[in-house]
Amino acid sequence: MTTKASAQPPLRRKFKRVWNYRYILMMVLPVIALLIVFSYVPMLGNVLAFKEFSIRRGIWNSDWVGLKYFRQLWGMPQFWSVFSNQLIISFMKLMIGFPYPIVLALLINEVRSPKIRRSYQTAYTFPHFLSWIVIAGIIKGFLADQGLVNQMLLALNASKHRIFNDGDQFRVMLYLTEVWKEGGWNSILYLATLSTINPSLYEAAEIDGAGRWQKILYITWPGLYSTAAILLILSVGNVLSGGFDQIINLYNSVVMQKADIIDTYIYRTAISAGSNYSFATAVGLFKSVINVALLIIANTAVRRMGQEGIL
Amino acid sequence: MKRLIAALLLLAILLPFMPAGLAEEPTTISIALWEVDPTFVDANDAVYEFLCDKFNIRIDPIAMTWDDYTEKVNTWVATDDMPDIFNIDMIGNNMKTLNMWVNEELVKPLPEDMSAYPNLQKILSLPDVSMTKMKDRFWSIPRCKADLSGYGWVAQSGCYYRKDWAEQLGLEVPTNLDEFIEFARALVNGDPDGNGVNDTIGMTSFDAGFLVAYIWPAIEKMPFGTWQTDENGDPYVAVNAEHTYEAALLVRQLYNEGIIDPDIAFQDTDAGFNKFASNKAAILPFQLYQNDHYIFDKFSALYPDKKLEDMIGYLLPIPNKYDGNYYYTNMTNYWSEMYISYKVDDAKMEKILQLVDYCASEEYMDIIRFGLEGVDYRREGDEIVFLTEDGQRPNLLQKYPFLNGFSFLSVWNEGQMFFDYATNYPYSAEIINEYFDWVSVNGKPKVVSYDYTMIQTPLRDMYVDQAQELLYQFMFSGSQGDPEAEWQELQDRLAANGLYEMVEEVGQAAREARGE
Repeated sequence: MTTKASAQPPLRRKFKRVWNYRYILMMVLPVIALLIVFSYVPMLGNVLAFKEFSIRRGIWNSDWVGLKYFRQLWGMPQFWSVFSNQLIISFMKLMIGFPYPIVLALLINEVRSPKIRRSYQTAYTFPHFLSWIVIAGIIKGFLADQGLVNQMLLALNASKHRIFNDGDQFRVMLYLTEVWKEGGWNSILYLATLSTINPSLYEAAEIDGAGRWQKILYITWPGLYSTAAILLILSVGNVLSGGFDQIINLYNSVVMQKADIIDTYIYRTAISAGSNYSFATAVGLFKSVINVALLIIANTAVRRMGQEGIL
Repeated sequence: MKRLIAALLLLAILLPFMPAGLAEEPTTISIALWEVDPTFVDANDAVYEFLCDKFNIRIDPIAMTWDDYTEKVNTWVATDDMPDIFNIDMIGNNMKTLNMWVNEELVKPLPEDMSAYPNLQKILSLPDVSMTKMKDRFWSIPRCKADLSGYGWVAQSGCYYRKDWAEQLGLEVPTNLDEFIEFARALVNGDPDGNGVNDTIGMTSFDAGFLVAYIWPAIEKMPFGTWQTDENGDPYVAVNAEHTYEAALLVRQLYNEGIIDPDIAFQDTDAGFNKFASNKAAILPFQLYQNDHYIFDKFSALYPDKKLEDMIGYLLPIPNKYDGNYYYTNMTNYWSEMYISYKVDDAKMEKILQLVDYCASEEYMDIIRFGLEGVDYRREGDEIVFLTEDGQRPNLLQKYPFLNGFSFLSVWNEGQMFFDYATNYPYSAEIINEYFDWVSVNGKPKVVSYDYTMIQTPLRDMYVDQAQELLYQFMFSGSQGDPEAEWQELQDRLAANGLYEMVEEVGQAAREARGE
């Protein structure tokens, strides 16, 4: 026996489904438009990496030059120095920045008083809403030679730290300030996931004599695991893109050799120099290709570990 | 008949409006210039109105700051959205991009016959300015010092110090490098602000460049990374001249000892002035002119009961350790250039050139110095008589805000400082006049060659100059490691970056240009 719906032609059936969900689909439309306008259309500009850009003739009428700028890029010692800086800084940010929101979410989740929990959450989330230019001013005020931190060190008869003049200390400062700014915000997703865990599981565990640590280990963490896997894939896929706003506002000539990353390099070669647009596009495209490769690798790894990927 | 009456009536109605209708509409010229504020252009400003009436123009000021002008101009050009006039330092700084602008004709060349603009013609005929031609045309108006005597940049590497602190500690004004180091050290360690804490900074500045420019020539007469010509007539870049290492080592030692501001490499440009004015720093190497805003306003506000001449002193250049010369900044007659958008039509181009020519004239310089004739002053023979009640020069920058930004539209007017520097602080003018009188007689220009400025080769096109950042890393990282090894590493990096191949190619191009 066939139903009335299945007797309809497939196209009409599909149209009817769309019609049924029309309000939900309409809500998605702005997001799709946003993605098309700001993410997909600009991708067409990547063609500039293979052209000799002429401002008067525009992107489409400029002459093709093949892989000229990629060859130039691979032959430049500065680029590889920048590339290695990017890998080191991003990797370390991932190492510190990825587990931090998970730990933070677990800790906040353990706070019993809802008022105190909300206060913590607000305090940790707030820095996310400050721009890096504001934060850079605060950090310089705190860490400069006559800043608060050095004055406190002096008061304690300790020696001053010159973080902005030492490449290695500067990098550590980058990791820590990134975690401070974004850790609270990134923990929101984990906190939302934690709220979906069935409280009866905790009750049952308590009856079975489980302590707090055991409840975290056997109930909370398994509940967070798949969310963490997805966020890890997204973080790995973005590993060569992060840090522009932070570094451009904080670095200086002294630490340039250890702090210059791909995006700051692109900014200097294209926007500050006022030419090299094709070269800068080639750098950006190269970075995106590596990012996609890393995304696929991370996705495959996560799926092999038995979790759902994003692709 | 009715039609005739109707036509006459219509004519009678329109007649009063005819002159206005036939009059030429003023041309609006958009101008991007450093630190201009839209409020500078005000219909109540008599100087602005005078220029508008004279050329039948209006000015649309486009703001750009010293921090963002490069990015702004490049973005305007790349997006085909440039103002009619924009200013930037491309020559000798970013020739690759300038070549692109010229090849694509994104900027308008100046007319070949400039005889209608005598002041500009005079500037363009200067030997170093005439070298800026590309494809046998001028594509910009280089911004020269109003004073073309060759001493225009004498006071660029000046140095202020806290006179009251030095006197309080019984210090003599230093006359050589050793004395200078002892002087700075005594100020750092003598707690001159009397707060009981050893927290006085010896030297700070607007940026590290000004600070290095003052100390460096005490040992090495060639500024680091500048182009030079050897005895065979070939170019080289001064990254390892006879005393370069020693000069860099001295700065490094002063930094490590705490005499140089630990934050000098990264602080905001205003921070050095604030430290100097707020009892935190003792010595401030900086240009000696146009410092009302940077220095004298701050001191006046913070110490209203004290005399500026009791608090602020200036130091002469430190004589070179090896040849005893007092070196001052040597630059081309110009720094930065004015470009005109390719979108400007011929009629507007004419207006722009008339305006720019006038702003380079002696007549306009007199406005900057004395105000409007008949309003602010009158001439009695060679003498200027101010028409204020007390016979003193009025505060022109306050009276005519337009002059705050547009006094240097065509030329750097601080060249006028040698005669009548328009400042609110007579002591500031006194300092600069004394300094100029002494250094222009006893000093020598630092050694730099500008012969290679316009030569562009494929390797120079691709070359990314890292010299300054590597030098700053050597001097300002606080490293306690082996300086010789670090210096060698710096030299190796410069070599790996392709410096010497690029210089060789430029030399080859220079020889070809000379027909060798």
